[in-house]
Amino acid sequence: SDTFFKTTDEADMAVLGVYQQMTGTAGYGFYMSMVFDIDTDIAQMQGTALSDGPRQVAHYGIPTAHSYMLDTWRQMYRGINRANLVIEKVPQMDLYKNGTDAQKAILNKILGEAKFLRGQYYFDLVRLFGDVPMKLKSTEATDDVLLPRTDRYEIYTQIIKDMTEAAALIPENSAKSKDERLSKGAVKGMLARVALFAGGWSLRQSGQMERPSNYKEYYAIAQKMTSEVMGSGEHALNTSYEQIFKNHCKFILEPKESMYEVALFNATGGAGNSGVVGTWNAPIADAGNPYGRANSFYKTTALFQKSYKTGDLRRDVAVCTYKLDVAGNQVPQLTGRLDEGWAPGKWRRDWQNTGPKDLNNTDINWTLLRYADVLLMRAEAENELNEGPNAAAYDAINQVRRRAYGKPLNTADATVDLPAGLNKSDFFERVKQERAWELCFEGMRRMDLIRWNILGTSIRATQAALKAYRSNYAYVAADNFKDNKNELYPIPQIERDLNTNLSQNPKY
Amino acid sequence: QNISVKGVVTDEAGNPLPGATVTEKGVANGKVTDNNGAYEIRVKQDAILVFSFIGSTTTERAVKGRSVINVKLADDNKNLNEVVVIGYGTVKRKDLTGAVSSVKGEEISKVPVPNVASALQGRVAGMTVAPSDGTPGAQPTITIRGGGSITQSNEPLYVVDGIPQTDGLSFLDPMDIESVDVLKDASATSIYGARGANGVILITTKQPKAGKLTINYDMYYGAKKITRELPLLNPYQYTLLQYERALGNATEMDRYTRTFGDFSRRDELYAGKAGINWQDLALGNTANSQYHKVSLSGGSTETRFNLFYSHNNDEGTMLNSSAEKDVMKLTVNHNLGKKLKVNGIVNYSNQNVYGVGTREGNNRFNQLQNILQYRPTFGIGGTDDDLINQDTDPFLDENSGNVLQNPITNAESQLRSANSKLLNLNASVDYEIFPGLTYRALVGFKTANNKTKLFNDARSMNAKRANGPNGSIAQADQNGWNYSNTLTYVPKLKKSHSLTVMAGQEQLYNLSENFSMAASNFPNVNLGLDDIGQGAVLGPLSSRKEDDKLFSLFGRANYSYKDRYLLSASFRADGSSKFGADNKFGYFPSAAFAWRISDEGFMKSIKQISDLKLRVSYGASGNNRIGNYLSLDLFQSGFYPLNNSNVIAVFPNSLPNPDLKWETTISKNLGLDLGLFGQRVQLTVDAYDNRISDLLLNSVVSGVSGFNNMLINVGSTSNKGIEFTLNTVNIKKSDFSWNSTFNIGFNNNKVTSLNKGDKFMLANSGWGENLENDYIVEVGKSVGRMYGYKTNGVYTVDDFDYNPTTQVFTLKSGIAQDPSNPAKPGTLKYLDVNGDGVVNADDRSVIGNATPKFIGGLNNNFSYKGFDLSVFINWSYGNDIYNGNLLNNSQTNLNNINTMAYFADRWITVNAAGQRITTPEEMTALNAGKTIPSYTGRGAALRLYDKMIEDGSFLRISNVSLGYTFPKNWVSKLKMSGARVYLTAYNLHTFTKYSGYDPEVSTANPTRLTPGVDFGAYPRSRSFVAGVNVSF
Repeated sequence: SDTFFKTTDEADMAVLGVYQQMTGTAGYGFYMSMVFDIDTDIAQMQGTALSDGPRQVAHYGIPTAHSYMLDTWRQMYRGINRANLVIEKVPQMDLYKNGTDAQKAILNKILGEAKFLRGQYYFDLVRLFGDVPMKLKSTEATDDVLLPRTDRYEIYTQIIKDMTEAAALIPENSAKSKDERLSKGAVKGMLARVALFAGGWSLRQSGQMERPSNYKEYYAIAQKMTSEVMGSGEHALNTSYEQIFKNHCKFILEPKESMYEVALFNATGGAGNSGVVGTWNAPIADAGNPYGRANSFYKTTALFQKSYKTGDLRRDVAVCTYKLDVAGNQVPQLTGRLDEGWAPGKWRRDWQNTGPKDLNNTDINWTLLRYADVLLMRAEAENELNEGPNAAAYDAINQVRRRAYGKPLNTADATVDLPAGLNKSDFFERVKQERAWELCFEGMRRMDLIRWNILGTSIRATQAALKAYRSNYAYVAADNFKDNKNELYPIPQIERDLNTNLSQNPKY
Repeated sequence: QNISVKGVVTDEAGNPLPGATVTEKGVANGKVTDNNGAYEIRVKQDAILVFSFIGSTTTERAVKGRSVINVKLADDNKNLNEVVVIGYGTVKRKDLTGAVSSVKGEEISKVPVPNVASALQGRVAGMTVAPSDGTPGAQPTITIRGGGSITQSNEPLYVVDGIPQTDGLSFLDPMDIESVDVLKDASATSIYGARGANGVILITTKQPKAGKLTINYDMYYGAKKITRELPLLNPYQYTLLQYERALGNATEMDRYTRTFGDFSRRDELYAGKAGINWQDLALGNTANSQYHKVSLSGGSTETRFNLFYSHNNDEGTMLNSSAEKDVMKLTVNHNLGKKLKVNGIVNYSNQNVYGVGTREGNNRFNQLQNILQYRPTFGIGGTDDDLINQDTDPFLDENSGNVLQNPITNAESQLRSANSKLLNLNASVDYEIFPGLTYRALVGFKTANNKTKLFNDARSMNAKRANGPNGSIAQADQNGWNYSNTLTYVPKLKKSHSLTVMAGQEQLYNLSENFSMAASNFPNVNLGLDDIGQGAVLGPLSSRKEDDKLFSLFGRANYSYKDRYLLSASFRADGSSKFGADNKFGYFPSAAFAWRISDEGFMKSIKQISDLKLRVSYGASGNNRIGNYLSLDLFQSGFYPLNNSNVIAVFPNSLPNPDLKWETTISKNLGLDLGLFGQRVQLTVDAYDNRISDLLLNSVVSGVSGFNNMLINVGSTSNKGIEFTLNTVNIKKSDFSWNSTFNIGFNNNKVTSLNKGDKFMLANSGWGENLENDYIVEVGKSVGRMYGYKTNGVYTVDDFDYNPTTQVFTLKSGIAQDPSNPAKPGTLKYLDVNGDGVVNADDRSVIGNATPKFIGGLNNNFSYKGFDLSVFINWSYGNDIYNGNLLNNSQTNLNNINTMAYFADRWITVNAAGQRITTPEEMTALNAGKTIPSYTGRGAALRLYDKMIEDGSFLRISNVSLGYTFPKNWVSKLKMSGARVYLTAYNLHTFTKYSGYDPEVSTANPTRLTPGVDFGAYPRSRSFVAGVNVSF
């Protein structure tokens, strides 16, 4: 490393190494985006037994030695270490001080990206595991790495600092390269999300779900960030909800709506740098069909599909009620118990680009942030800060709703807009519901339910509702879910074997 | 006045000794006996005649005017004058000061095996030769005196004809061995410096002998079969298990009924049915092996040569598996006058190993597990033959997650071949600069080419599950040279003093280059790897190049006074490119002292004692078995894809350690050699204390570092032990003899410190997904301790309060359970060892130890007239085996798979009518005394528990060989100079309590952290071999 970091190209390769830890099986290619997002009120893993890795995680029967915990933990920290190195080395580069303005701008952008990504990796660690060790320096052989857990609010402070600095250094979408890298808007939108989680509920080491007393300070950050994104003119809703996902399926970058995507691709179809978006979380496609097989394991529930209101165009995009047979024909799954097999339709095989390179892995990116989410976060933050919805809150959520029903985005429409005069809690309920309809299966739901402190309640209510719908409906999450335990994953036992300073999460 | 003296020289048994030397003492006058042992010599009347013959005691006779003197030469204390190779030189065994054991090539060639390492098993006290399993072409792991390293290789250094070998011994033909000398203590190994700590095995191949051209032909032919099969559930038992799994799941129950018929028909359909024996079909073949070797040797006393070609073909008992090896070697010696000797060796070997084997894949995809788990009956849809003939299980075709496949198809559709070609060129020059001072130069070149090919054809599960037919070719080339120069000086000193001084220098260079490519989505009809370009999608291409260098200076002095007091000292300085900037050079001194008590005057009167020597030694040596460049801070390249195209990304690939250095072993050895009754009884006892410090520990580091592992020099271990070797000539008559060789070694391994004051570290044997750490290394204890849960049967109905209304079982208070696997009647009852009321990872304790208390071997050789018989037994006592196959198959909850018969006696959850049992009364009635958990009762976590640990002690009748050498006068009529036939049985019987295939097994990990795991091991065979050696 001493001889590296001489040119902007070298610094660029190093920061891409930081990005790279988002990809692959233990990153957003599989675990982070899908396995860790279920089971919830709107989605679950197919199959009821705790018979394999993803089912153990999804159905809340997670052994502390579960390899997914270890793999993701290690991958996030690898990303952090790589970010730490870039954050240390770039300011030491000669070009950082003495380069041309263009070189300095590139290096500043790189530095900003590394800071943002360090924050993002810590954000994911904190949400999954609670308090975790915080290391802000690249590792050397002599370092003591047997660190104790750092309070998550100390980490949140660092994340917010890193991301705020990143927002200042990274150019707007219109000025950035046309690829999956970060834009200023993406950074601010992600920071808003960080703030809402910091201001939300989480399971503390005491064994209780808690939210900080100053949580509104965090909501204020979310409010500020979302309004800056909205005011920038850099981002907008795609008028067609369906087109967003067809663009995902066809690898079309559309950063006005899909603001931040994890780039997933593998030239040979292998799992490295790739993911199972569009096979694992897609409707069944029989082996041998021209679009390629999909082993559908990520399922929605029949009742979620039925919860969409008439006219909501999102329903038939979000939930696919057919499967693809071997000839590629759409076979409706409507009789008997077949509705239990309904799956997310956002990345269905028959929307995808070409014949498959691989039976499981696809090149479909994982979208981490959509503009619709920015709008819904704005609505939620305004409602909380103003003790009820103001005009900005209504405007933000109604834009999302109007698109859902195919209406002009900026024209008030009484048939779809939320009724005026909702109180704080009613509006909050509407936001929670709208987030499910709009952002379902996009890796958001389980974490949202935790920050609202309703994961256990929702799971139990969902199981009761499904059993009422059909007594033998296969949904078991409530059998295993334990309050004040399953809001966090276990600290990987193998890490605890190495580092006795690491305590375990409550009740594991 | 000279007179003529004649006579016959015979051996103790009265056989004439041709070629014995008869000289007149003090005068340059000598003769050699003829073919009948007769001599005639003219000498002074008062002369003294000296009779000498190799292997016999030199005897003097005063002539005193006699004209006939017949002499019977006593057998020499032959092992005392035997030459022992000690590295950059030789000494006579009687002058040895260190712990060195030797094995004769004759012993090795008597019981032919495909590789040299196997032939050494049980032959040397304190040396473990551990075959990992029975895979054709598999090389056993050799460990001397327990090995000190924890995470690095404990493989000794192999030196063949003076050239250090980095590629093991597989390239040698075991029939081409003259002798094997094993250096065990540091006074012997420190001359090899940073590479000597694991012991050194010096191999001398057969050297040409002068004489008329002789042609030898050796061949053997053998057949083998696995010794046992693992008992599995039969169809009747399997269908019950599958029914239990399906009950309550409509889709699965539908599939069950369609496939196996209604549960009520189970008795009628399956009772008493044997089902399909997949082990027999896939692993149970009778496999053949054959070996042929033709050699030519001869030449003049000035120029001699030896040329041979051998071919070995060793089929595996598994379908489509075999190993073959061709070796060709030419050795030429030339003497130019008395001062210059030149020696050249060309050795070429070509080995191929074929077959997918049983070990590929982790627990989900492992090949052996597929054989064990594939269902044993077709069910009602057809005959069992139909299942045997189908590539896939129709029952599972609708199950997209299925990984099981017909084991026959599996073996046929996955093509694996590993080819390695090794060319060794050695040359040496010995030049006597002036009497007493010799210079020796030795240069060796090697070039090794290894090519590994994998192809999964369209029928393979891999192709079906993933990328269509796919394959890869990986090529690894190694080129290197080794160059050493030594000067040896033996000054003429006053009698009773003798001194040998050697000084030398050595350089070594290795360059390795790797290249690999892969492709997938081959068209269904394809040429496989013969045209990798047909793959529709090109896979990863990679290439890599690295090198390492070693530069060394060394010296040794051996001094003796009156042959009684022997002193030797050596020193070596090694500089290696592998280590950190601050630690490039290491220094390795040693000293040893020996006292030949038997030569003291006061011992002369004790006739029974023919040899008594006490040896003490102390020395340092090192272990540098690590990869290249690990001390450097290097970047690795990868990709982050932007716009669906790879863009290069770089990142640090390992945690660099600039302080990296070798492991240092300080070894103390106290040895005693005792010979009794003219060496008919020879006992060698060595006690040693090896302290290994600065361990090269590939420590798993906390993920918080951003890395998984780091190589650091921390911690220390010790090996203390005692070894006995007893050679006895039990009976020695003219036509009958019986010799025994017995060795036994006790080693006590202990970890004395770990990283930064850690008291313990855990390790993972890594064979299974989600497997908890299952080994512990603890300060004060040996390595290889298995770490897991203690159990006490299963939770019974009595452990619960039962509510008849809700039909709910509630665990009684005070009874501990695992929160992630709540107890039900029939769940495995892990013990709450720490008594905190819950069962979790903190309740793990040591439940087994892979380290044996002692190991050893006993060889008996009998000969009667032309017949020879050898019986070799070896054993290991006190070690445990971690039965990974059994543990993996304890996941009886996993749908569809068959499992071990052990689980037939599990807690049952359905009654005879096929209903799930809900009442405590019925549960108790059906499960009285059951200790094996119900099909779901093991829980979701894959954790090691005590029932999976078994006693691995064994006593093996390793081989029995009976040979007959035809009398000379018979064979000479056929123009032959010798002929022998033999019959050998290998692995005739093993006495053991172990329930797996074979107790000599270790498959998990090449390092010492997790020994003794039996997961997916290739079953060992029993084989019979018949062979012939003839020479013309």
